[in-house]
Amino acid sequence: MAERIRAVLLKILRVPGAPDPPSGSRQVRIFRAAPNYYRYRLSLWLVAQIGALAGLVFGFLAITRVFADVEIVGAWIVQIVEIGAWAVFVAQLPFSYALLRLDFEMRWYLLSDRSLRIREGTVSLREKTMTYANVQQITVRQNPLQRFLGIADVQVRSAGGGGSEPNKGGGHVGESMHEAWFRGVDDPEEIRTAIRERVRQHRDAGLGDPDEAIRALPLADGDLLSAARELREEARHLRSTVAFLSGAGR
Amino acid sequence: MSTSVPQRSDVSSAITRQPEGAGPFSRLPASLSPELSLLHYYALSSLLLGPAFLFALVPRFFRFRTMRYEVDDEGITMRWGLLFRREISLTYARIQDIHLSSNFVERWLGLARIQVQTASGSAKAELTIEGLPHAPAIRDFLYSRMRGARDLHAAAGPDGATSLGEHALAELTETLREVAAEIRGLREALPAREEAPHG
Repeated sequence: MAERIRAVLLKILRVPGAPDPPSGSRQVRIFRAAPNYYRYRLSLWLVAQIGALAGLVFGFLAITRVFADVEIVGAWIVQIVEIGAWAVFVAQLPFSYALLRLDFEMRWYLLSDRSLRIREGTVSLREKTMTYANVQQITVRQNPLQRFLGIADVQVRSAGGGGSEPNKGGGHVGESMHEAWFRGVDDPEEIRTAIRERVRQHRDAGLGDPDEAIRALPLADGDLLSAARELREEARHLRSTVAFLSGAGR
Repeated sequence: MSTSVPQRSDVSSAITRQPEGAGPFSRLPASLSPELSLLHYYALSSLLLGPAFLFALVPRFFRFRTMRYEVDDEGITMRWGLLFRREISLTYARIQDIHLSSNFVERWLGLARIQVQTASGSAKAELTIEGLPHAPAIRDFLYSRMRGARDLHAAAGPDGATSLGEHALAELTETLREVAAEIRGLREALPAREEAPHG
C-alpha cells in the first residue's frame, strides 16, 4: 500500500530518478542520507504536529469554556474557523508525512573528481553543481539530537554573499544560493576530507579566475618581451659604437 | 525578429559531451528565445494570484516576448524588457555554482530553471535561464565551461592563452640570449679600445 502511494506520488510529481554525475567526471561517489536522518526529521515533524495539536486543543477549550457563557454576535464564524482548522490539520497529516518520507528518499549527494552535485527536493526539485575550484569553506554541523543519532550536516560554501532566497516549496528555510548542504549523512568526515583534498589542489582564491592564469606568463607577450627587444637593440648599437670608436682610436 | 531558434531535433542531436563543443547549441554564437511552454507556466503561476492575475500576467507576457539569450564562446547574455530593459551578461569562467531547479508544474510542462551564480553578493541568482528546452543539457554545457570542470592541462588548449604565452616565452628567451651575446661582444671590444690611445 505504502509502495503504491509512493509510486503514484512520484509519478504525479514527475520526480526523476537518480541524478547524472557531472559531465566528464570520473571516480563518482554517491552518498545518501542516513536512515537516522529520516528518524531525525520524523521526530521534528512529530514535535511540530504535537505543537499544532496542542494549539488546536487550547483553542477548542477556549471556545467551549470561555465563550460558552458569553453571547457573541459572530459565534458561528468562530465555530466554522474551529472546524476548518481541525479539518486542515487532519488533511495535512498524510501529505506532510508522505513529503517527509519522499524528501528523505530523494536525496543524492555526488562527489566526482572535480565537482560535487546535490539533488534534493520533491515538489520543488533542486540540483546544485559546484566545482571544487570554487569551494571556499566546509562546515560540519551537528546538534545534540543529530549527535545522538550519529548524523551530521556538511555545508559547503562558494564565494558570494547575499542572504537566503525566500523559501519556495521544498528546500530549507534560510539556505543561501551559494551553499550546498549534505544533510543527514553518517560519514561527514569522509565527505569533508574528500572535498578538502580536492580543494587543496587549487592554489588560487576560487573567485572565477580563468584556469590558465597560473600557467600563462602574463607579461610574456606584452611589456616584458618588448623591453627585452629594446634592450637587445640598445646593446647592438652600443657594441657597434664601441667597435667604431675602438677602430678609429687605433 | 531575426533570431534563430534551433529546432528541437537538431538541438538534441547536437548534444555532445565534449567540453570544447557547442554543447546543446547547434553552433556558437547562438541566439535563443524561450519556448511557448514558458508562457503557459507564466499564465498558470499568475492564476495563483486570483483576481489580480492580469497585473502579474501582462508584465510576464512582455518579459516572455522580449526575452533573448545570446550564447557565445565567452559567456552568456540574457536580455528582456519592453519599457525597462535589462541585460545580464556573465562569462563562463566566473560562474560559481549552477542550480537546476524545477517545481512539479514546470516538470509537467517540460521546463526547468538554471540558476547561475557568480561571486557577487546578491541573494537571488545572478542569472536565471528559463524557458529553454533541454535544460539539463544546457546546464552540462555551462558546467563544462566553468572553472575547475576540466583538467588544468586540458585547459591550456591549442587556442588558449597558454600556448600564446609559451610561444612568447620562447621568443623572450631567444631575445635575452641575443642581448647577452651582444654584451659579451661589447666586453670583448672594450679592452682593445682602452689600450689603443695609450699604445
